[in-house]
Amino acid sequence: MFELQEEQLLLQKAVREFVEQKIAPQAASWDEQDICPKDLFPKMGEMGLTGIFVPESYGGEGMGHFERALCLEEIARHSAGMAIALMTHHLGVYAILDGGNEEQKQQYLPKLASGEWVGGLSITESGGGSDFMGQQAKAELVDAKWLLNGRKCFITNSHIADVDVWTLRTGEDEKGRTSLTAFILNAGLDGYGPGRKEHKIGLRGSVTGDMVCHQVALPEDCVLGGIGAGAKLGMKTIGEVGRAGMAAIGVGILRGCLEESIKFAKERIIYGKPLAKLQSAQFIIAENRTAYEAAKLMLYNSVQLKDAGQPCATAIGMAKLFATEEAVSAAKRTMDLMGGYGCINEYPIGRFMRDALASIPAGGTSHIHKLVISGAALKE
Amino acid sequence: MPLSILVCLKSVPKADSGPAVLDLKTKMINRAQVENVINALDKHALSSALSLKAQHGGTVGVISMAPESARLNLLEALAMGADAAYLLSDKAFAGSDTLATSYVLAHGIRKIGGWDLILAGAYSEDGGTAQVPAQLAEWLDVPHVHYARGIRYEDEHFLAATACRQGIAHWCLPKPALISVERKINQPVPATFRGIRQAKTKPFTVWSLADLPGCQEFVGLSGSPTQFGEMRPFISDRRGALVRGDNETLCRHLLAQLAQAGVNPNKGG
Repeated sequence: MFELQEEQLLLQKAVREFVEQKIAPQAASWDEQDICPKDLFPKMGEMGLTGIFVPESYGGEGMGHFERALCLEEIARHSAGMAIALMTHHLGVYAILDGGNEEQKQQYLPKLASGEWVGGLSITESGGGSDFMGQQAKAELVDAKWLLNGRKCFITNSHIADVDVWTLRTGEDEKGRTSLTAFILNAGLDGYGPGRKEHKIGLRGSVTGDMVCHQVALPEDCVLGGIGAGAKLGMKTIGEVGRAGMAAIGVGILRGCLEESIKFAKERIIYGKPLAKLQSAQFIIAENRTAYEAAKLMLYNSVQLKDAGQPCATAIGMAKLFATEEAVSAAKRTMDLMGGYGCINEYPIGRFMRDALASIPAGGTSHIHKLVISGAALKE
Repeated sequence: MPLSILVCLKSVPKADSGPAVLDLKTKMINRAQVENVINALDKHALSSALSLKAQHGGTVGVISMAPESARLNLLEALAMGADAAYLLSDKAFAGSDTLATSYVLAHGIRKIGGWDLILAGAYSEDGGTAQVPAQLAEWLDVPHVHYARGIRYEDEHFLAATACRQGIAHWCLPKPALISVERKINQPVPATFRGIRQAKTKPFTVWSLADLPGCQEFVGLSGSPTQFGEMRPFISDRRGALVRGDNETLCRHLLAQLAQAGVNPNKGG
């Protein structure tokens, strides 16, 4: 059983208080209005959330991905939308931290870590995020400048990111396979910007939409990680940081379902006694609790592997698959428990259900994860 | 001139932890079964101390009389920016009423010594007596003001503002002094991740009864003048009644009800 250390308990408590003050009271409103409060990022930066795993030398907190998971769970408990906005910011941060040269790190990481800039990662295209290597957006080197053309879709933080990391085709490798390169783009570049905004069923509290490059000209120092390194960088960022973040969001939604089911069962009086006295209600609570604890343990195990520098992609994938699928089941169970009240928007459970459903395709669909997990198992 | 400030902190059960578990024998809350947090007003006091330190320099210490389980709360105070923590912890302190609590705190504060200002929340969320700060000041024989909503330091004096019915009262206290604060004084500064990382590097001192020489007379349950009486569940089966009418009608009705109940309002009691 994981026992959090004192520092981790303090961190969890501090974030919980921050969420209770700044996020929980607004979560329903952000969901209803379908907005992402970009002005919260500097406040999250003051606390340390936006640069949690960035080394102190670049203005971050120097903590690990375990601590990051604790923080995302706390936020997602009340607003999975806000949590995925922060999670996606972390993707842009991580890509630069992992793939950037010293100059790029010095240029971008301090302001990303402080929350002054919001980060993003643009990979998915209309051809499918699952077909990672099928990306069509292209970058060509012309007269010592890179010309970028293409459209990305389902991009979180599309309309608020100040710094965006794109992956684009830049040619073929020596075996004739597609070669991808990652680039850093700043908001406001000529020909670059958000396109259509999507109206999602869940994870509202974040903004999702298209990102477009039309003849965007970039100097060579915008290449991140080297020409042809985009696939590896992108897959690692999504596979280890994105999916761990989504697993934490799933765990947060699970905790929300558990706490709401317990609260409702204790308060609701039926047949002259609390609903919690009925076995069917007790079974729902037991299933919610078991799912939450199991998902949490899978998450903690996987991010500890990441922090230890050990292979973690499969473990993280399993945590993400389990947590998000179980979040949908828990939300459905809790709605069943609440009866008619489960369909009333004054209660958050409807939002939890929509957030859980929208979490499944984010960071790799469940089917993709099953392919990856079974692939790893069959190789062993 | 740098200030040496001490802030009294109390660990209290978290308000929404659910129903408290009462030990019917000792008539005390089983605090191990609930999450304990820093008393909200004490966070305001700590933030005031940190603000004064930011303006004038110096140090901020936090002191608490509590079980060892309060360690995390004191670490949180260190994470918020306090420079040192003192925990007065001993089984002998259990069951202390406000007088015994202030007595023990006074001994701890005397042992620390060299302070200019003691700050505390005006009352705790669990007991709510608002007695400890004033009692503590009397034990320490220092001037004190309570429910302050503003504190400044000028020319070796602390200037405190408190609300009263007629407006705002302004007080001038020479140091050393004690001031308790109310909620409106500030918005507490939350702990940052940087503060959390630094918390465990700061001095953390734990003293038992044996470490407080002379602390004998008012200690724990046996040293507390306040003793719990009988406890029984309260069942209310009174029925309400709604009576409408002008003031005279209502008064006549009330007097008739009192007379019927055998109460003579002219005699009292």
